[in-house]
Amino acid sequence: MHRANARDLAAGILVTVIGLLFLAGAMGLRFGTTRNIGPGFFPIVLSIILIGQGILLTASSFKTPGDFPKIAWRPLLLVAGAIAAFIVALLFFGAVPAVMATVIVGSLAEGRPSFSIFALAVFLALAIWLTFVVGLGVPMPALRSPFG
Amino acid sequence: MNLLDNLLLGFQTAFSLVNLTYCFFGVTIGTFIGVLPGIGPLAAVAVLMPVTFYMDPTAALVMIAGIYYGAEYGGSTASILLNLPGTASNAVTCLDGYPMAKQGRAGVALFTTTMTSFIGGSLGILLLILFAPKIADFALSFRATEYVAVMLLGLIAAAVVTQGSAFKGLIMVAFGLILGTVGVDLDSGVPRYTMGIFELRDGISIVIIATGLFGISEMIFAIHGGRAAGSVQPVKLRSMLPTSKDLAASGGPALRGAAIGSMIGALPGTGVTLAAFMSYALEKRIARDPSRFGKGAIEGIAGPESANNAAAQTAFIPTLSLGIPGSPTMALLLGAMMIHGIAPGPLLMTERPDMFWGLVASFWIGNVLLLILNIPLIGVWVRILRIPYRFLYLGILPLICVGVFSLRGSYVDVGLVLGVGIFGYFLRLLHFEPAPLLIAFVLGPMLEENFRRAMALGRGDLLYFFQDPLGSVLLISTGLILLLAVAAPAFRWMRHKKPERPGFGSS
Repeated sequence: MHRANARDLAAGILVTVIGLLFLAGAMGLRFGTTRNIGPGFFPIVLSIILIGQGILLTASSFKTPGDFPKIAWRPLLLVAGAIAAFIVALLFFGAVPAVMATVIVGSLAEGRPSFSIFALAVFLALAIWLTFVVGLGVPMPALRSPFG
Repeated sequence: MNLLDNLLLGFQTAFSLVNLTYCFFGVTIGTFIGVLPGIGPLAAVAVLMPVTFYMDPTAALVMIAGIYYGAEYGGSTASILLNLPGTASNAVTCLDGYPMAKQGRAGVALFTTTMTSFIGGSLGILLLILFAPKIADFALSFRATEYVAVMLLGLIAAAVVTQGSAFKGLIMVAFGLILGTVGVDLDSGVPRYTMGIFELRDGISIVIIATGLFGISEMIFAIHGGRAAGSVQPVKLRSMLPTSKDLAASGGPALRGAAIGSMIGALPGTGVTLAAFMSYALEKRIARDPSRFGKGAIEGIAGPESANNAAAQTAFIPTLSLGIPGSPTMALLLGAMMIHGIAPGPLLMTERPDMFWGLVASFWIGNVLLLILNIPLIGVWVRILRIPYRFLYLGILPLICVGVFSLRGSYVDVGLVLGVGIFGYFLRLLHFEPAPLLIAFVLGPMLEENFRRAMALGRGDLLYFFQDPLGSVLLISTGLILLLAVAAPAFRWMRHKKPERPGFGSS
């Protein structure tokens, strides 16, 4: 008995858990009969398929050993942070600051913000504002006071 | 109407100023993102989809299509000059393209890939014109059971031909299908998996799934990979002239590649990457001296580049005639059509002939534009390769946020992209290829609707699916593919050979 393939083991467990969650979420839905299929039919059948696939993947992960892949925490957290910054900044300050915040937080995922990044942020903020707000008429204030 | 009238109508539509402009935009953006490694056509289409909702539907489709096939042209540039595939389907071009560049024949390689791209693309369009209307005519008589069978075949094919494990592809199909059930069930009015969140009642927008899975998660991976801005030698126009020996050597592979590519592209669910790899394998097998491959054999770039462009064009056959996506990017095209209120399927050609034929005509125009963009203007694209990846992703990131927000002014939607993006990153990390998920997500609601209808007609008898010959043949072949895909790795494992198919990417 050797070590499991950590990547597939994790994948198998993840799929099984997702299947179980979707199955739990489908519990209140009517399954129906094959003649009159209810809203729960597809979700329940698919959740069961997912659970089965997850268990198979978990079982097969014990065939060959392997390491869990390295997670790129910095890009992951900072790209996520950049989107979160967009939501918060748009909510309180408007579109132009939101785009700039996204670019600046996002730039931290790889290296440090430099002058050129700041220039890019300003350029993108204006370009996006012109295209989406002025050009396409998306209802999105360019600037907004958090106290207004 | 006969073919000539249709083509005339098509060119009239395509030559309108609006459509011509968007065709030009599309192929230029396509070449741009094709040239730059780290962003594929799928991500680019996903990012630009919100903008297309403000456009005339025909113009929107013309542009999306242009990005798609334009990327196949541009993608070979980075493969040849940097040994980095611009898009997944150009990976195989690195094998012989980069050695050619090292031998000082980069110009010839770039010229050859553009010319063979054009040959492949043209043959693909020709087949599209000839076969799509016939298939659509035929499909008009499809009943619900036959639709279910075609969709299942497409889904299984998408899962099986994906890079990486076919079993994991099947998991992605199941996952995509279940994500497609989120929202209010149209049949019963019952909300499913909405968790009380109002925004989820209409389901998750395809833009959110696509930008999250392909834009955000690909970005996190690419930053991780850390692509240094390469030092690229400028390419002079004169250096692009091939010798007569080069021309003679690349003609055959280009035609064979176009044939293989056309066949694979027309299968529902399969992407263009497989077409390129199959063509390379074929050229290597029939070559008089296979040892030349990998050392700069011109056949090794002529075949695959013709094949992936042919496949990119014939992928429109199932997409436009049946409403079954021929590749993951085609799933997005269908999504864009649906958001514009156009039902994909065999009726498209009779109900919107201007749209169908206009789109087809725009392909010819687009391919000619690409020829101009990629040969005289190659120097511009080579210079673009020096843009650091940092600027690229920092441009895309706010575009995704604003684009998703613009869908309906919802902060929840932007939050969903964040969630889907992180989840997509972990899927990729665990070697799940997200392309089958996207196809399943688009087909899911149609599959469920037709399955319900079929079951109601068949009075709940599952054998009803085997009542008509076509449906039966399709279902049985789907079953066989499924069996082969699952049995083959098990068999290989029994012989103690680990199946190793690394790499991910999207096409």
